Amino acid sequence: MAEDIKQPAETDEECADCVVDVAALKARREAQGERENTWSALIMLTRGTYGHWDDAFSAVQVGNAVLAVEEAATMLLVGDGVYFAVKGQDPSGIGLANNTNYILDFLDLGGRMLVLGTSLEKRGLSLDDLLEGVDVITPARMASEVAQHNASVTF
Amino acid sequence: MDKTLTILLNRGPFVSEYADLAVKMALKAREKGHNVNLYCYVDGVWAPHVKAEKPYENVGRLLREALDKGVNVKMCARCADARDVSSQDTIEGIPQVGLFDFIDWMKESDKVVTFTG
Repeated sequence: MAEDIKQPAETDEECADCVVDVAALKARREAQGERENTWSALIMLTRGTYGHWDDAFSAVQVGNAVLAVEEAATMLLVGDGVYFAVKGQDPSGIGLANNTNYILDFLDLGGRMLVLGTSLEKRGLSLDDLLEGVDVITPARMASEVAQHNASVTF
Repeated sequence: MDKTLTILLNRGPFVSEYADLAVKMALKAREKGHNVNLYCYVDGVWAPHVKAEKPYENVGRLLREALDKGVNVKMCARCADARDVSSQDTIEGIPQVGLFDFIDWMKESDKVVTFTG
């Protein structure tokens, strides 16, 4: 159950639920059948991945936390945020962790990841440059996605 | 009818106006009788770190006023730990909590507003 993963954090003590336990979530999901979500969150990422690393990391943590409580989550990458989903990322030379695994975890847990096509094109990128499972959408579709979700946050 | 507003603050004070605007929005919503939650996330955890009195406008004073007027304020424990922001160094009444507290607030809110940049 969600309570297995959702532990209250005490002030200044090690925070058990500050980073979502993806392995525990995946195991629970595999034990479940099909489910219907009644509430959904849209997490918009507008920042480039490395150099604004905590924004991207924190955005996908919100997404995984929403999925952890049995609700639906969509990440929408716009502006420089499109770099988040580019495949073949290797930031090891600048001493930062690769984001790819966080994205794959999000998708494995049932999250949707959308990229605004116009932002992608303006950066010389296309669908072929993105990780598998990521979809490219139009500005009109972006508007409808925003309207379809119960709440949205921006990073 | 009272509604619930949750504000996500991702940025710290002074370098921009986001922190001040977030708390001012919280205060205005309370003044109108709404339930208000403010979650300090990412660099937003620096806002409760403005603890001492200062001879100029500052987000610490606004946060204390917000707490006095019933705004619920929490901060991300992971973000605080990463920045060595301890509860001893922050305004009393703003607990360090996990991300699920924010998810709960999102779900019970009529509106969620982000201050980032």
